[in-house]
Amino acid sequence: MEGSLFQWIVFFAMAFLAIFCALMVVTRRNPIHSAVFLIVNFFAIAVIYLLLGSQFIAIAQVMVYAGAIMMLVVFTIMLISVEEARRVPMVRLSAGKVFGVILAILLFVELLYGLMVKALPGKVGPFTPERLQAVGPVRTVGGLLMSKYLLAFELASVVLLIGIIGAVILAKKER
Amino acid sequence: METTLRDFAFVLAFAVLAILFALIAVLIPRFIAPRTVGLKTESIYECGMDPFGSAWIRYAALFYLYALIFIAFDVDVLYLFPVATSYVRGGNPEEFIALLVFVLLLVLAIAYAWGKGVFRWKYEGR
Amino acid sequence: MRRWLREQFDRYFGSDPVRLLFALGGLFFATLVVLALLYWVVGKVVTAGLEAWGWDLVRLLLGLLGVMVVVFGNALFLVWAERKVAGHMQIRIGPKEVGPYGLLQSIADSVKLLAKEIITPRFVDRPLYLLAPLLIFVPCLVAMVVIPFDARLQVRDINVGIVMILAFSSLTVLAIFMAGWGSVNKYSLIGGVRSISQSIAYEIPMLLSILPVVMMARSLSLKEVVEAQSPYWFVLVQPVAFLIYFVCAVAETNRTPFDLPEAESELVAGYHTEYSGMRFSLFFLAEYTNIFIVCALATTFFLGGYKGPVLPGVVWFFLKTYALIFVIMWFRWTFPRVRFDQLLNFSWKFLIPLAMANLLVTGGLLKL
Repeated sequence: MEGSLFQWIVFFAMAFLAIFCALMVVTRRNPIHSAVFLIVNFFAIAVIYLLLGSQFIAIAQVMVYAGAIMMLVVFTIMLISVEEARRVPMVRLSAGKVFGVILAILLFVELLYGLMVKALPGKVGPFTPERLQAVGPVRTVGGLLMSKYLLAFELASVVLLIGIIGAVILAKKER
Repeated sequence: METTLRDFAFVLAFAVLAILFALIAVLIPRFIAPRTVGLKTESIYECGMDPFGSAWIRYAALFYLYALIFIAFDVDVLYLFPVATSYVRGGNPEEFIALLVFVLLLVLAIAYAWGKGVFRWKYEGR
Repeated sequence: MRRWLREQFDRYFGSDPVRLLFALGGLFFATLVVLALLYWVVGKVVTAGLEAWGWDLVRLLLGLLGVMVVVFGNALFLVWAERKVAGHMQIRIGPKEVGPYGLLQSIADSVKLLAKEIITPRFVDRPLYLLAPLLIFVPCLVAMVVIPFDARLQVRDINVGIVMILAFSSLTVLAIFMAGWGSVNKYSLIGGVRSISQSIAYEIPMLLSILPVVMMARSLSLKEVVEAQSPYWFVLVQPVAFLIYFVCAVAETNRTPFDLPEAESELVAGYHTEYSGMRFSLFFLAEYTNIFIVCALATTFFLGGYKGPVLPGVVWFFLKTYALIFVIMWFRWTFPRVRFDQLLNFSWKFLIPLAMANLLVTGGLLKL
């Protein structure tokens, strides 16, 4: 087992927190409470990224998910009427629920299969923590984005452009 | 790795202190502040009238659109931060071209939303 | 509950005092054992912590203490300064009774606030309502970790400091929204929604105006940004970015002319309408701390931070920061409040395109 005892404790605490919050998100009846638990979940996952040594991903997680996605969720909730949503009775069993459960089980089995059957290679890539520290992790990411993954970098912008266009078309339909 | 974790241990310590401090600040008045119980003490403030209707009203879809555009921009700008840290002074003009294309695509997005009238509010007229 | 306990107690010990004696003795020894164990464990943890952390632990504790002093001193000073500046701008005197020049006024005010009754309205969404004032303070203190007050006076130089502050600042908005939504009040909710839309509109130009600075300093650590401004301050080469940043800073801290989330003439007090006493003052404290933080960041990014001749760095830092804060206070008595659509569109139609153009020009010029 790699990593110090401290890291393992933090990992398990955050993992349980993330799972607990995920459960709370889907079981709360008040949508804003769900949203707040979602934020805590994002923070827990950000800490796990930190444990993996990727600061920038952790920061991006907090900034994009806990910041931006959260605001989208909040506006979505305000778009619907909370009072009406509360009055909708809980459906006991629906096709969607059954399908969802089957999908979740399939995904879980798949993960388990992947972990059990094929042992993780445990190979060390070219970007070791020492090398990242020497150049600075963020600068390494930037350098790669500008050279090796330039196409992906530009495509990200294209994807987001298409996203905005789609959103505008959908929301502006009535005019 | 160790330094990263220690950096964020500082952040965590400060965050915890912030919450602890706020908690103490809220708890102190419990012991020294007066308590009153009146007919309207615990009611919502609506300028003296009795509150009516629900406060949780629905908001215009326009806000939703603003939020969507914000997400796209937020992600885009976040990509630019690592690029900015590795941006070399002088030489390597390809980097500038890449940046130009990226930002122009963003400009296109805002121009599209502008043209489609996302930023136009109803009472503004045409 | 208490009565039930008494009944149980009587049933066990009432008839037999010796039994009571034994029970007390057992309790005493159990406490001793637990205390000894606790002592051992705490000792182990503390020695391990000291071994692993060493001077960092001292730094952390001193940092916590120092930051608290800065936060409180700043808030006390700003409350007084705000009233004094407002007074003189309106050809009044401002506070003058308590202490010399009314300097002790804010201390008297804070004691008063501490003794105020805290009212929780009946139908609030309790978890959100109670959590909001606790949460609003977190991003303030977290930002203080990385602000360089002087070349060596910085709690911890994190190499992604800039983005960390920006990421955590979204928590402020969340707390404001929780306050607005949780207090089930129309004014509060409208204030909360306005706050969110405003902060999402002004966060983008803020990020875009910081990017050129990062490009020139080639680092996300605040200290390295300051060190990069050695021949000249960045405000001389990036005046547009500085102006954009400053406008966004005013908007993000909900100050006039962008104070729509708490516009007192339309929304009572906005998102903190339902908060009283100490809970209200926590929002107040966070607001003043945020003003300090955005101005401190402006100083760090554009005005050379702690750099300056003759005087020690920390003095320069505070001088520059408070000069900027004075400008923000000046704004308050100069500009009327903008309309909400003007507020949003000013950012999307003007600031963001301008910031992008500025970014591209910087990128191009750096390549020449």
